[in-house]
Amino acid sequence: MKILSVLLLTLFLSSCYYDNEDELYPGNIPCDTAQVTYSIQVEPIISASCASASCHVLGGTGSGNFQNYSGVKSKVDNGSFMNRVIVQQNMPPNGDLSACEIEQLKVWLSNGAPNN
Amino acid sequence: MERLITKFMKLKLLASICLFLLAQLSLNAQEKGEKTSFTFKDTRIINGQSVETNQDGQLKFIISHRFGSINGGIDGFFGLDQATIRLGLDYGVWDWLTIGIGRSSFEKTVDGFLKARVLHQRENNGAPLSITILSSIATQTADFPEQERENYFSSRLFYTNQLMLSRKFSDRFSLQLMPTLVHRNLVETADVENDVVSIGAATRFQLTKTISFQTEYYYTLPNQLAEEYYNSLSLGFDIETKGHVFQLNVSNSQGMIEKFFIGETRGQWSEGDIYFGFNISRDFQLKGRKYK
Repeated sequence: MKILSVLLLTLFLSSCYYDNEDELYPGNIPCDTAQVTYSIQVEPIISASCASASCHVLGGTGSGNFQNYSGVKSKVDNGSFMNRVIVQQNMPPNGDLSACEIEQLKVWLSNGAPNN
Repeated sequence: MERLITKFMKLKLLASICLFLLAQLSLNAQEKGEKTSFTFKDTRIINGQSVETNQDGQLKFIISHRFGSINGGIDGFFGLDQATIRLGLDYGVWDWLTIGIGRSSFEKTVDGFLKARVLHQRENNGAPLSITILSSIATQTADFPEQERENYFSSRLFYTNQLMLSRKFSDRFSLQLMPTLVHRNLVETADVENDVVSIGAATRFQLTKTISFQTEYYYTLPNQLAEEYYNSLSLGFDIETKGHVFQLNVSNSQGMIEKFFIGETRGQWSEGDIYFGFNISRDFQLKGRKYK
């Protein structure tokens, strides 16, 4: 019986793929990081992923109000935005930012997080 | 394609050899001496699994929490404002076989596992160590971040195969080694490995009758992960109460399944990226006992 179960365990091994995004999606539209602005790229990302579902909104469960630029900027200035979103990537907690969105936020932060 | 088949064949061959040897070892082990008990107090050490399996008919409900990093300061109440949770149910089909499912809030991940204890350490010159095999599968259920491209279900699957070798040296000290293979079906770039080999080590020091201290470290072999990922180091206390084991821990990893803490640990102890967390388990005996 033990041997049977041990063999069953090998079933879990049996559907492996060795894909990577570079090869699986060769025609991927390259991420546009040439000109990242708060109004065009950053604000929509924050509205959809941070200032929604009663998180980083007035009276929400998240710390700070991300519905306006100054609220976001205060978290940029104390380093927590960079730390949580870019470095640790544990915010948003469900991890739903795409690699391109993270890259755009990184560029915006490295430009000094302007309100443009 | 050739690369894919070659790697796949190698993996299967290696796994088959290991499993065959283990099965032989299990059959040939001398069945003498009392089985040692409580090599670890629970089926989890901190983030990872221990060599222990559920008893026949035992259902274990495990609630695990990991909070945000403590270096967020008082603004985030040292991480307590942000919590991720895993709810798990483990069932002992027989004394040596446990099946389990769990759901983590992080990336809305569902996992399932089979865990078979193929050798039990015995006293009086019996088997010198315990061996348990873990095989698990995990899938993300959150929406794909890139909705516009063609996404595949296989891309969200992650597999873990782990061999746990442990020895209880005395009532006060146990050691466990766990070579582990984590497979990710889809990775970001060709520079990153789909298969991640890691070697874990864990210890238990019994401090008092009800409290023990655990350490758990996973060393991931170099050149497999992207630069931003680190090895997972966790420290914790187990507090045993009647019907519960209460585990308090700190770790540089926020994830509670192998896919996260072996492949995606972003925190560094030296930077203060330390996450406080706890596991609480409650046991229910479903076979051979009637509750009044």
